[in-house]
Amino acid sequence: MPPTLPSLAPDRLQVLVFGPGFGELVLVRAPPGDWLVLDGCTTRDVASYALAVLDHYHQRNKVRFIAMTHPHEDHAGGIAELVDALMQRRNAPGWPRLGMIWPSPPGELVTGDEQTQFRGARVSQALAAILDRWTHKPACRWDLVRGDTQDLGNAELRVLSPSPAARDEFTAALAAGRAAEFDKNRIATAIEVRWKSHRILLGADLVERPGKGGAQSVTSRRKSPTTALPRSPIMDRSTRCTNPCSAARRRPKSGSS
Amino acid sequence: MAFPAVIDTREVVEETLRRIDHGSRRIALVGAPSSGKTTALAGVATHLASAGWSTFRTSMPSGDDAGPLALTLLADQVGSGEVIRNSATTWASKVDATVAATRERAQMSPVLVTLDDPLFEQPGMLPTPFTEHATSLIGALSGIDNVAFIVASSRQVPQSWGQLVKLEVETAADNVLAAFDGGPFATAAKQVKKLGIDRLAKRSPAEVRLVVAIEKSQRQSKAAFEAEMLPLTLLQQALDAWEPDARRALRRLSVLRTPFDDQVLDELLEGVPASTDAMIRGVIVHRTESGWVVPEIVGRAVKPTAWQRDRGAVDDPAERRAHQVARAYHQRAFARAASSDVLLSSIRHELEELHHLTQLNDAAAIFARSVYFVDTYDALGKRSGQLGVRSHGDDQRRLFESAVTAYQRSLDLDDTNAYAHHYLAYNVDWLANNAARAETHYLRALELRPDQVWYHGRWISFLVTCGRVLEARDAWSAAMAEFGDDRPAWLFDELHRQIARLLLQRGELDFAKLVLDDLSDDAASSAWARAERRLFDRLDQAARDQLVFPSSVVPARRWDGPHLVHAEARASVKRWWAGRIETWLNDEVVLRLAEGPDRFGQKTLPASEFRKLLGVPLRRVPAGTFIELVYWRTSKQIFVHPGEVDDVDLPLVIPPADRYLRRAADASLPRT
Repeated sequence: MPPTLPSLAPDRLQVLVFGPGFGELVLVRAPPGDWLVLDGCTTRDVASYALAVLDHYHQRNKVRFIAMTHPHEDHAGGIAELVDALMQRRNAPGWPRLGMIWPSPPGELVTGDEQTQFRGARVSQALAAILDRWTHKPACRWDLVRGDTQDLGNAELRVLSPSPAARDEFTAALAAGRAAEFDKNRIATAIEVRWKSHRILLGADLVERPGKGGAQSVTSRRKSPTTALPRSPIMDRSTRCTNPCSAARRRPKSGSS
Repeated sequence: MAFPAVIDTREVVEETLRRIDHGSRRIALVGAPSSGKTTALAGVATHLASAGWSTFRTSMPSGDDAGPLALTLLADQVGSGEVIRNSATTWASKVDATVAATRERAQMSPVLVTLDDPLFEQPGMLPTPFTEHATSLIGALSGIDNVAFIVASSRQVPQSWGQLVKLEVETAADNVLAAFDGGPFATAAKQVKKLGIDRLAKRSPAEVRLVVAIEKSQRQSKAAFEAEMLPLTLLQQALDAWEPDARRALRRLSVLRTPFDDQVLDELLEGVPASTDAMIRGVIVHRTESGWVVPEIVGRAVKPTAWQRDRGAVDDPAERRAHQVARAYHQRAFARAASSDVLLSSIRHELEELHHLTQLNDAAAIFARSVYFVDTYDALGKRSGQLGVRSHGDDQRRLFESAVTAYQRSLDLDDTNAYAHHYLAYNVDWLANNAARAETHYLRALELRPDQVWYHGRWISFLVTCGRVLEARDAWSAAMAEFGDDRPAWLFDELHRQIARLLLQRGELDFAKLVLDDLSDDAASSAWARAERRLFDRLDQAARDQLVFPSSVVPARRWDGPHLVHAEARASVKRWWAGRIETWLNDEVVLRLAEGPDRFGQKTLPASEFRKLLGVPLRRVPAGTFIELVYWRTSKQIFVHPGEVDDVDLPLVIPPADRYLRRAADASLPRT
């Protein structure tokens, strides 16, 4: 692991964002010491940066939530390894909550391009690992329904997207056999972390409403500006962030790191 | 089957009796198909019976029921029939009871047991529970003191098993040919006789008849004979000379494993051209005291092997019809035999009817009757499962469910049946609707039979498929420990091949490498292993975002391109990049490009520019397509790969790796 990882601070909310390999991984540690892992990041030599970080801090048993925001290959890499390592049958009573949007069948094969096939295979493996744990212990299932709130230590997690309408539209597309044409970014999960006076938006590949800012699927009635962390430098190339307002909201407030 | 009065087995019978007199108790009569082995066995038995011996005869037909059928026929003769009919008794107990009863009979008088067509363990071949039952029965019978055990076989008999008596054919060719006098084959038979009775005497009666058939259809019997053709070659030539209907008709007739009546012959030859009908009735099949028979040599040539049957199970309508006719025949014959109190005959017909019901996959009929052996349910489950693998949609689901029911019935009778545990798990796994149940039975099978390679392989594959890779690695280590250092060749085919393939399918590269590196040198040089290694190398590059070239470009020559440019034009290339279309974004295309092994990057082009560089009015080129961006002196151009070919040596992933994901996705969709 790179030597720049900060020490754990018992009274601070800490957020680690990764993108040195393939993926957009975010880890959140909320006082007194609970972790949320959002998506994954992987290279050929480091199968799961999330696992590497947790092992660096010896914090495997402090993970309370794992979520895959949506089934794209640059978010799923490393999730299968993380779930497999943390959620073995023998420690089932202590499993974290495990979240993803469902249903989501395997991606379409692009014949002849094994690189795309490989990435798709890793998504399938992540889906399989999550589905297996859900089946074995239904209580660990986290459906990521908008409005759902969960405690993460002294912080609160609130699911902000996708909207029920986007979800229904995706389901209808699946039933009609048009899943390949549906932009999965429209059902990406966005989670707000609230800690003391801070609110941090964690959202991968959220679809922008052109000219109106915000995410197509996220609505917030709060008048006070939301503190938004920068998204991982690897932005999804299929849905561009064109709204300058979202860039302005990326400056973090003091007190969060 | 035998050709009474046309084959002389006196010498063989006398030799066999001589050896028994001298104390030999295990003898194998070996000879070519239809060379008179059964006749010789009958001769030995008749002689010994007249000398006060108790003689018991049984046989092992081809099929998964070889062991149970042989045991049942023997049991009813020696007096352990009741134990056999108790379905709650295990196979081992049934064999023990029959051995005990035979031993008891041996205390009262000398005992001879004969077995036609024994199934011996084949070195280097992976045994199945069905073959294990057959071979264990032979082993048990061989171990009974004071019992003479004689087998008759046209297959290889282990040298260590006992004394071998080879049959040298002595056909009464005159008698064989005389049977054609006055009929449509008389002229052909006369021509064949001119080849020389002495030479014909060295051929079995079935071969002599085939020569008559060749003479009739081609007038080339002399040529065939001069060429000293092997029997099977002779037969293939005969079959090739006739219409395709002949082979198909003989194949239908060959589903019967016992003699059959006129009605069967008429029904299965229905629709066949008159000349073929005449050939089959007049020359090929022949009538014995018990009914019509297809010679063994013919059956071998036209029937699929057990290996072919297992791997190519299809529901062929013509074959189904043949099994239905056969089933009806055995029902009739059973009724006749039962009413005449001919016990052995009725039992044989009952078991044959079960065999055909299994081939018909008629689960309802089988479930409605009492069965003696769990093998019956196992065989039914196997047939259903094999058909299921080759089916789709609702048909597939129904077949797998039927297989599960059959195996559950088997387990209801015998919970220690590892085969049923494993295959119940496997079929449930295919259905992908109850992972917990699959897991329970996979583990139980392994607990009962840790020496079964398939049980390990499918358990490991199940774990990988469910994203439990760490447990899969542990299970792999356990499998390696089980098979130790002395590993037979089939281990790599049956274990490594499928596991490595699945791991590659799911991108588990480190684990795949572990498995591939474990191959023996011989196994690693096989076509499938080389294909999987090629795939691993490409995926390893893919994991580093560095894979652009198609598999058709030899790795060592990748950078000797550009490959899509005509060789003569390459001298004019200033610079070139190999790449793939990564994705399309409305009016742009993203390319993944490489210029040399260490230089990778991405380039985004407006779609209009891409099409201009393409130079041909192609429709949208799909993502993943291999391209080369070539810079000439004053211009640049994009070339597109015409299409890629699958690596034909790469094994299929079976069962489909995404079955649980699809099942769960389907189950989550709203119902309209």
